[in-house]
Amino acid sequence: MTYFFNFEVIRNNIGLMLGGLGLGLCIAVVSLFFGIILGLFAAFAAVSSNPALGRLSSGYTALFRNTPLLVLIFIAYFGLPDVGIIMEKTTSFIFTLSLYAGAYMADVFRAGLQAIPRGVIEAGQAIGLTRFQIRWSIQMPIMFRNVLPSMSNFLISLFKDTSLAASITVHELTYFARKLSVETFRVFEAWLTAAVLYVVTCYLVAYLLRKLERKLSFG
Amino acid sequence: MNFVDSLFTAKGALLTGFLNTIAASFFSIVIGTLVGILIGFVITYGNKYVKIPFRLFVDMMRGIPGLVTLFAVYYLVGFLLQGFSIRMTPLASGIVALSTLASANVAELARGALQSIPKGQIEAGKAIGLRFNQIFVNILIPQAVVQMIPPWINTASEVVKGSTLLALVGVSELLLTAHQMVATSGRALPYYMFIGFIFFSLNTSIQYLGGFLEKKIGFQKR
Repeated sequence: MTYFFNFEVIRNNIGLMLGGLGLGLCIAVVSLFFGIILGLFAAFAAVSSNPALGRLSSGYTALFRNTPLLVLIFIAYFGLPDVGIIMEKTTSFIFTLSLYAGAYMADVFRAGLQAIPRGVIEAGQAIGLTRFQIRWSIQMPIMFRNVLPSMSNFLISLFKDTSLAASITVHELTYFARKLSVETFRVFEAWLTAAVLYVVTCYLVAYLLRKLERKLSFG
Repeated sequence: MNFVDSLFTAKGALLTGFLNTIAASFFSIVIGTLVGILIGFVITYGNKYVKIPFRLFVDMMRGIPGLVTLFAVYYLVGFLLQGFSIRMTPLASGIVALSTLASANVAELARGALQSIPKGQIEAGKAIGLRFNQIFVNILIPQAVVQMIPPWINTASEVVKGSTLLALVGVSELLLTAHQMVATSGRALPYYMFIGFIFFSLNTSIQYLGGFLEKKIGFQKR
């Protein structure tokens, strides 16, 4: 059996695929943003002295880390309309991915907060800072600097997870690759292009984030 | 028909779905681990030219989303087997895709674990006259295994979670079974939450098992 590569179809649709890639990146960044906010609340709850808050936070992280993302996506997109919460598919996906990111970020931040030496916080207390000031201007800057590498790794993993949006027909890269491979039978070309685009983007994003990290960590 | 009754009515389908999930996860973990460890060895101890293709494979696989790998395997296999009398079930394609993913992850773990063992230990082994295979079996493997277990448990739980992707290529595992039940009942939330709960319990048990294993083996290390 011979197969003749023909990238004509890909050439004609590369705009759509790149657009899908861009949408995936946007979804990942937006979800990370919301995830960071959620994660901060959950992390401070986890290290707080209130046991109820701590349990709530660890329940949240365990729930979202031990349930497959695809099931969560289906619960949000197909299940929530049952109770009257109807969201557009992209919104619903961002909603799910943000909650998911929040759970992972919470664990990362918690570890980052616990790594801060006790003395630094006590120093803040000694000079009369309020609890909020200690959190905002002492704990958070130190923590963020320490967890930057984990955050950028997670952004890349979130970007890869945006491919799951294809399951609820969000028009991102995997959706177009599947569409092309099914409709035009250029199976090799479609998946090869998608794979290359993903790999290149991942390494590009990783490279840029490493540069950013280096800049920020000496700031 | 209420939710619990409908679960009982569909218990056959649910059991099949559960078994498919377990089968896909189990075989992918086993194959992925064995292949991954082999690749890890090659990357750590192989010569420059043998190393390159495997290094490339691992780096590529870590950049491609699991779903893309799965779709690529599924559609490519379907395409290549066109006109042949051989058929590959979606489950088989799924296992191929999941084990490929797992093997890339395990290869990285194995490489990390093997490289973290100080060179001096290998030299010490040589100095007392051990052959490479003896050094390997008695010095490197025991330490590498202890290091690999915690992240390996994570990989296993990733594979279990990843097995839900197989629903998208038509393997009737748990998620697809739920999807079909939703289609007949018209209600979605309870069924998906039920499936979510099964996966949550499955993964939580894996984590516990991992913690237990770690304690057991970590103890021997001392």
